[in-house]
Amino acid sequence: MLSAYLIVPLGYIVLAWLLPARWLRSVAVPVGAAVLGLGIAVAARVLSIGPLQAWGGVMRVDGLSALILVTVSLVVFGSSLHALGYFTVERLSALRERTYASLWAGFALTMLAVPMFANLGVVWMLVELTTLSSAFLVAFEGRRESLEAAWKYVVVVTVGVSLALLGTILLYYAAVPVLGRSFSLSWPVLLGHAGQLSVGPLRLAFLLMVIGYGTKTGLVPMHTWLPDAHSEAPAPISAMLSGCLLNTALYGILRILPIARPTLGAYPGVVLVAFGLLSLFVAAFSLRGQSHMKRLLAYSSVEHMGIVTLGFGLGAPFFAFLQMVNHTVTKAMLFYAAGNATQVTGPGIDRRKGLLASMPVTGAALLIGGLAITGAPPFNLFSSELGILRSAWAHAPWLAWVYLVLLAVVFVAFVSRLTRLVFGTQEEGGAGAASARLAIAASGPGDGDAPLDGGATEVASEDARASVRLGTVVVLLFLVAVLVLSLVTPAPLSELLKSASRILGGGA
Amino acid sequence: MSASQAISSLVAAGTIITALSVLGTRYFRSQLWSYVWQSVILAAYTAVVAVLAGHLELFWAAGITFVVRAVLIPAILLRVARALPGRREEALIMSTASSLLVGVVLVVLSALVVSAFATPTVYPALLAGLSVTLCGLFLSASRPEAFPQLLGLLQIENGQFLVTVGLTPGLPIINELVVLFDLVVLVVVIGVLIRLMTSRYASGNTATLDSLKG
Repeated sequence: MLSAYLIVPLGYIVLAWLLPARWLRSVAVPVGAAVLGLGIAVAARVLSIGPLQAWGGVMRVDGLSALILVTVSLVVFGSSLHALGYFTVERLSALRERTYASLWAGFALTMLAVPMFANLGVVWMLVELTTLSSAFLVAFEGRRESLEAAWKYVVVVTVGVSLALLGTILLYYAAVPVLGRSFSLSWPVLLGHAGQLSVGPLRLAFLLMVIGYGTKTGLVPMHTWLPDAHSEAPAPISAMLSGCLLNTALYGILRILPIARPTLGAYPGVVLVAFGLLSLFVAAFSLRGQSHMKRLLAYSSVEHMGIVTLGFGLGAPFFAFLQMVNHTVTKAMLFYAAGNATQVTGPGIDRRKGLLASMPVTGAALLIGGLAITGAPPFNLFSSELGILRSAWAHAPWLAWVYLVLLAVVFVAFVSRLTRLVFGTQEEGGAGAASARLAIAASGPGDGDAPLDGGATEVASEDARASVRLGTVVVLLFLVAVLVLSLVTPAPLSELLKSASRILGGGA
Repeated sequence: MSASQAISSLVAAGTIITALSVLGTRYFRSQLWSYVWQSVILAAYTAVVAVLAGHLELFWAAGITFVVRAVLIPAILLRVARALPGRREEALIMSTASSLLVGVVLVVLSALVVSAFATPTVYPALLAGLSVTLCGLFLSASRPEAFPQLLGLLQIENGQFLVTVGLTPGLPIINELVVLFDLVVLVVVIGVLIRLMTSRYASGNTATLDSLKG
């Protein structure tokens, strides 16, 4: 089953160069659905019979891996559906269709593979490959800014993730006294000897791995690439970057945590709390200045990865995982909705008011999703953020206060930006900006400075409407998921969260 | 001083000199050649450790390292360099002499850090590994043009390989293979990005890409 999981996207990469280009994005939908189905099936099997193995132990999937796989699969499916509508405005050439299709599947493939492999060196390589496979997707729209974002993304993240490799080597070194000079660098082996590793090298290894994988998770101060990459990528890709790539990167840290904790005691927790709190702090104050919808969402991802990291540091893995799942669903929905809105109006919040009037479904979805993502009750993120708050209070009341104040800052900043977008009247800036954006879209990729062209606007606007209709379906699907998660945590999900939490050594 | 220590000291000196010489020039070809020599020294060192430590698996690692780091990657880089509009870096934030000075400071710093905990047997490899990594980091952070930034990334990986061979020669070869595979993909992806940049904007200067802020 694990092999099939990887073969599906792999097969689609091959198909991307065989099938007629105009079919590709339609074929991607059943591919995405198959990935999601397999993800759920794998998780169900892990819950019923315990960790799965394949290829003689080369691949190993336990509750933690399964949880990451489910979040990745969900957004891969959502993005396959969203891309169907999203690119109708741009009218991709056959080559660009094929490029997009194979890069999309390659990106999905690498993200799915990360939590499956047991060898930590291979995990490192796969994390690095997720960067390389998504770099051209970030640059896909061909604007100068997207190329810049892609460059920054590759350079900053590669430097960061290379520190994780150094950490991995030191982890190996820390195990040499116990396991002899030569052994397999796989996490089940190391986990079996956790508690016997040498303290000095392990301490440095853990720190390097947190900085390395943390760069990719978007932890401050290594987050500088994130707002650019997430906002410049096409919306279906932004959703994948924010909704699941960050989780796969965090997985790298989570795998080490149970290996490091028995030897290092409180140290790993302190490191994670420090990075989590710093990320939350910087993100909270960066949200205020954002006038670009997708950048706002990107900074919110920094904030949420900060909260998740804080949760793990405090030893509340159940709520941290719940927060992670909630963030994935909600943020993916917001990026899809923001993508739909951008199709019609352009990226700036200031130029685009009264969204609720011009695009009722998208506007409402952004409003609900926006409230949910800030952790307002009664939505899904409220319960997980509350759980982490309780845990913070149990550790140190001052920590809980700082956390609470930062959440309040986030709420005010985010909601004030959001209401400017959703409410208000269209005359305040809708129409002019809308036609400008459509003219740009119609004049083709890589040509962002094209002069306004009235004729093209009319043609493109029909396309934009059709595209938004398709996009709305995805938004509604994810909105339903957000609302369901707000009301209940379904029993299987709860089981999966508990199973993942047990691996991190915490009760539910 | 034993033979193995003498050899690792020589290797450390060689890799550090090549790392510094990349910092000290603005010509793409010279930078590339320094990288090639650094990789050759690495491969030779791996072979020597294979003999001295009795890890025959490391012979394979040495061979593959030579093929990938000293031949394949430089060949791709040469193609990238040919497509660049100029033969040398035009925009520098800091003169090459000052960069060199910073490089020397970084090496001294590495010596201080490493001598605090390393045993004499692993000292040279760790010193060289850390120095090369830091010089690579500094190179990719301080140069506005794309090509030296890429070389900086590659040097960081070389530095880490030195640490691996010096510290954990028993690490299974699969780990070296995945790193090399990753390096090749990295060089291809960055090479294409540099091409896109130069073909669109007639410059490999990433400093012209500065519209995304905040």
